[in-house]
Amino acid sequence: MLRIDSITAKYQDLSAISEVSLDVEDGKITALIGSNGAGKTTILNSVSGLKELSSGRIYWNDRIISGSSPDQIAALGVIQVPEGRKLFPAMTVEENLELGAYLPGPRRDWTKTRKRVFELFPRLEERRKQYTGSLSGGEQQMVAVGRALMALPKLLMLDEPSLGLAPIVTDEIFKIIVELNREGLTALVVSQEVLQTLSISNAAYLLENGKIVLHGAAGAMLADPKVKESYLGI
Amino acid sequence: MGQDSGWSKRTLLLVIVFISCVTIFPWLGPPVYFISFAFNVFIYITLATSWNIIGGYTGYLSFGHVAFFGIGAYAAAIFGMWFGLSPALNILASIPAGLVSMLLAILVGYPCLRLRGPYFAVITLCFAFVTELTIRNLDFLGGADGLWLKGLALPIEVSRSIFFELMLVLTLVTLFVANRIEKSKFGSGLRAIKEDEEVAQTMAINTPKLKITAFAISAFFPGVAGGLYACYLTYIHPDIVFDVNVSILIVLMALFGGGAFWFGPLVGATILTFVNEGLSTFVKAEYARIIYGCLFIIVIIFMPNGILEFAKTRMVKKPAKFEAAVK
Repeated sequence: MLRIDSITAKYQDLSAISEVSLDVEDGKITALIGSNGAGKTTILNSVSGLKELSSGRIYWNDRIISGSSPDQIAALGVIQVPEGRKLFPAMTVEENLELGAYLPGPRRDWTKTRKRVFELFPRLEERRKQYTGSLSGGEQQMVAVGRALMALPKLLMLDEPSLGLAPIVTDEIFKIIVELNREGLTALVVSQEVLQTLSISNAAYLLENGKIVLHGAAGAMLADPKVKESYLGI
Repeated sequence: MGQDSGWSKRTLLLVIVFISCVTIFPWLGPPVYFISFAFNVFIYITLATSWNIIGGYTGYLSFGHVAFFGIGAYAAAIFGMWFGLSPALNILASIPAGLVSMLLAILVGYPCLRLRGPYFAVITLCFAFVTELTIRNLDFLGGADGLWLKGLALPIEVSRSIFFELMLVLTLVTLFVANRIEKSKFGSGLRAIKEDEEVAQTMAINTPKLKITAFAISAFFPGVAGGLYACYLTYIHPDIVFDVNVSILIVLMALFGGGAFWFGPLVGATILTFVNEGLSTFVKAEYARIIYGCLFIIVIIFMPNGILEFAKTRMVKKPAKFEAAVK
């Protein structure tokens, strides 16, 4: 279980997030919603070690991980699918996937994991020899998720998985997140697609201007008048 | 990565025959000039191939790589002096000399490899200057006078032939190591760093460790080459073994051939050493430089990924490659 305990992170003097606390329970999908610039990505980057904290602590299974380097955190199975895919564009689909399984553990049975990834995303198998830079946005997102799965994640953090994708592709990605969750994967989904994200999540947190302003069960959040008004436009 | 492009039996046979021909070449009684020239080609292949491990594979352009060559040369000379080594043993001291270069690379790399892009290029260039100035001003290292080593008491053809063989072995070992790295998991980690270091980190790749390892390996072989060179020349001077032009030439050779493959620097170094020699033999030195410069401009504009990649895309149709398509 991931526990974020009152973290603050700054860019120069400006606080991007202040005293954010958040729990991600095992086996659940937790949503982190909020508008552009609310600090969602900063939270994910803090967890994965890319962003240094000014204060607060992050625990993974009761072990402090804040302050560790990104590769150490990833080695614990906390894997991020970065915003905007961030693939290695001059490498093929296969090479990207293989790099996902870099550590000895995931590498041991990487062919098996890859088979599973190809089952989830059959399109990737067709394009396995293609450079990822030449794929469509949706296919790139699939590679990004697939690459993260190759690391055999215990917690998968998805940053705007639907960014810039056609609705039909978004549906597909969300469907796969649900499927993976059913198999036991814990996920933290960051998104501006409030309705869709809440509808697949168990719990949710609403972030505004770097602060958590609301949290609870995803269903309750969907019914909340504030969420309805500001984010769903109902 | 992954699919190890194992050589077919025929290619392997061709390579073995070729290497054998090269090996017996100096013993067939060619003019000494050709032996010395081939020795130079081998040095450049070794330097460019080693550089490529940190520069081409990892994307950290070291512009001071000649420093490791120079340090190796000086280390071998100093070992010879301090321990009163015989010329033959002094040649063997090239290996610990390579280790000295490697150690320095680790010390320098630890802070410097945190810098990226142009900053890394500049700081490595400064490192080469500082090393050269230090040696030039330390009297026990010969200072501005340089250092003398004992030469092999053999006829020049024999002595040159021996160094030819030694440098050939070093070149082959370097190429072999570069080839193994390229095909290994370590190599794909380096490529990941080259493409996007931050993402590589989030994929559990310990990037600082990989970079330091690559830098250390890429300093070792030039160090050994420097040691052999010192024994070959029997005289070393900061101007000779810390020549900044060599630093730049190494980079150009590797990129000329293509930095992504182990044989890119091999091709680049071979072609450019021949071109350089041809130009300085048949053309006036001033014109030679102009032609040489133009050649680089043409290659960089039309073949930014090196001549090998250029030839490859011309010969086989491959799926389009978009370097910066993903934001």
